[in-house]
Amino acid sequence: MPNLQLDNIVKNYGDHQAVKGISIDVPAGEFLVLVGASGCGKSTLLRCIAGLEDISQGTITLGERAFNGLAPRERNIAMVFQSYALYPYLSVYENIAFGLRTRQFAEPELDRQVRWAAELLDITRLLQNTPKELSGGERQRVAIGRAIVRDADLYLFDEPLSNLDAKLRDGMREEIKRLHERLDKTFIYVTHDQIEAMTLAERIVLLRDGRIEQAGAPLELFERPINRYVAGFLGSPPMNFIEVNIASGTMTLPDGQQLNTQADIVDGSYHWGVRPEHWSHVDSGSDTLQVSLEVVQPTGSRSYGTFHLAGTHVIAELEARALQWSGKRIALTVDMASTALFDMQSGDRVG
Amino acid sequence: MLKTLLDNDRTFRYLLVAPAVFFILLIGLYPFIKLIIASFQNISLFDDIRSFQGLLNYERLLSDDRLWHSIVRTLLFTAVALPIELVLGYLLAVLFLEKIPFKAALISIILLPTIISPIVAGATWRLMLDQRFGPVNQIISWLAGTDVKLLWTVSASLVWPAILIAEVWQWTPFMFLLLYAALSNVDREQLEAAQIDGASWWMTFRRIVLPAIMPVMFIAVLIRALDLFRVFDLVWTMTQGGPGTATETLSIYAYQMAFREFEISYSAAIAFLVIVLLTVFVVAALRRVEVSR
Repeated sequence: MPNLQLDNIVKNYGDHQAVKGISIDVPAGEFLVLVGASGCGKSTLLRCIAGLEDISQGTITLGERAFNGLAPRERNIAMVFQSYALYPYLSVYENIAFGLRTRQFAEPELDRQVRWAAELLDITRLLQNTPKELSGGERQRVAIGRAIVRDADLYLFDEPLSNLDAKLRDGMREEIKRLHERLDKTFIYVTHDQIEAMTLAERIVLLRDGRIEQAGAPLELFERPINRYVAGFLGSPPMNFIEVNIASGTMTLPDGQQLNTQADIVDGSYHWGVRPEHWSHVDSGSDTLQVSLEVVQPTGSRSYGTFHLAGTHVIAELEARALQWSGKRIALTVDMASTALFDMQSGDRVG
Repeated sequence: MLKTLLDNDRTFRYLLVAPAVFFILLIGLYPFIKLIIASFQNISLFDDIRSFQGLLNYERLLSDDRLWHSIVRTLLFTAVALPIELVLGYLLAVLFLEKIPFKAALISIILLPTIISPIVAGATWRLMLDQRFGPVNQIISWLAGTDVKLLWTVSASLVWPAILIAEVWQWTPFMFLLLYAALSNVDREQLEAAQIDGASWWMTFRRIVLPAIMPVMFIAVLIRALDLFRVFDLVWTMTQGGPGTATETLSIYAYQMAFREFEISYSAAIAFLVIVLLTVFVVAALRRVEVSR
């Protein structure tokens, strides 16, 4: 199975540059997720790989084959679209069989493949229906079936779950992950949803404004973000950013409270990044913060408490019983080793 | 009394549509009934004699060779012009799906022939094809390098091509407009999915594009087929059915009968025949659509 190499891909639309020189090596069999806010160029990049868009500069190679100048059908790829893009006038069976018919599969082989894919996605009973008669989740399964039925070198997913409701999305996410483990093929998956990125990816490429912001394993990006943008993008609820002043081992918060810090860093002002889960409630003790909980949102297993440090809004993940502290003053400690410091100007991580 | 009448919702609704229904009956149904009555009569324009003569006019229809020739001519003309307009309109529509500069302006220009009246179109083409002063003969002369004087609207072999050119020129834009609208609505992601699935041009057309534009295409063809079957003004202004009866279509024949030969009641029978033929055609066509749904 071949590796995919993107080398310095640029895509211009007139004066607008949507992709500004992106290079990625995708080893065979990897589950790669391209993630970013809308307009970051992730879908454009995927469409360039598919051949639905011409690239303005750079090269795409799959194994020994150069993709530049090849039509989509010559690339041996499969793709799942956000709108499903099922063929409305064909049955589910014919939708899945379409790509095999164009490749002139013999009838018995074709039938075997279609039934295999349908079985895998649990849509066998729908094979004679038309897309119109299916629910959103069923349509998505057919769209995935149409992609996996073919023995493609590369499977591309363009925000496949964003038209589904939340519950269905969780289920399909798990199935897509299982599918990848089963098929052992290269998946490239585009999403704006950081949870999808975190849960599905073996490697995440976080794009911003047509460039790669950071690439790496999900936990690597989560725990060691290289800058404030990456830190804020991954995680839900997002990381809190608090403006602090550090002088000789002491960190002063906006409301004047102080904490000890071991950060090996020059004195000055920084953005202090604290994830909600880095806070914990203590009854008393040294090196704690006193805060007034304003709103507590229980999720069942945990609760999210919000408070202000002077003007800065902060969310902390607390134990379920935190609801009883709503409106009260409590003491919190911070897991200082897990927090991050970002340069105020560049946003780069400095500690 | 009036108040209770107006308070009744149902009555009120009928009252609102009543004037419209009245005028439709007046201008549609009344002449139609008059026509049927006239077709059973013997009417002379020179005196006031009107007498019923039963089915005599209809018997005459069956043995009237000139009538059947005009019907065959009309059907042939429809069968040739319609596919040409459809294919040209489709190709033009496909062309306009691409990014081209000044698209909106170009579409307006292309639509001009369809907007003008067929009489104006016919007169214009008659001048264009004029034997001595027409630009068409001049251009052919330049290309051929010798003086060419083709008798477009007079010569029996050229008169049908001349009408066909005018007809296609005038009505291809109509096909173009409807097909362009239909093609613009074909889902782009479906076409991309087909591209990735490796579908050929033909397979994409057959399985995705054609089914998507079918309803609109069907209506467009139906409208044009009805118009072509009743074609009158374009042909009349160009040839008046001539030379001889070479371009005498059904409508022109009915007109000749009524206003040249003053056979009012016989032409009423012809008109009724046209109505019957078209009704059968339309009902059959619509039923086919229902079946295919």
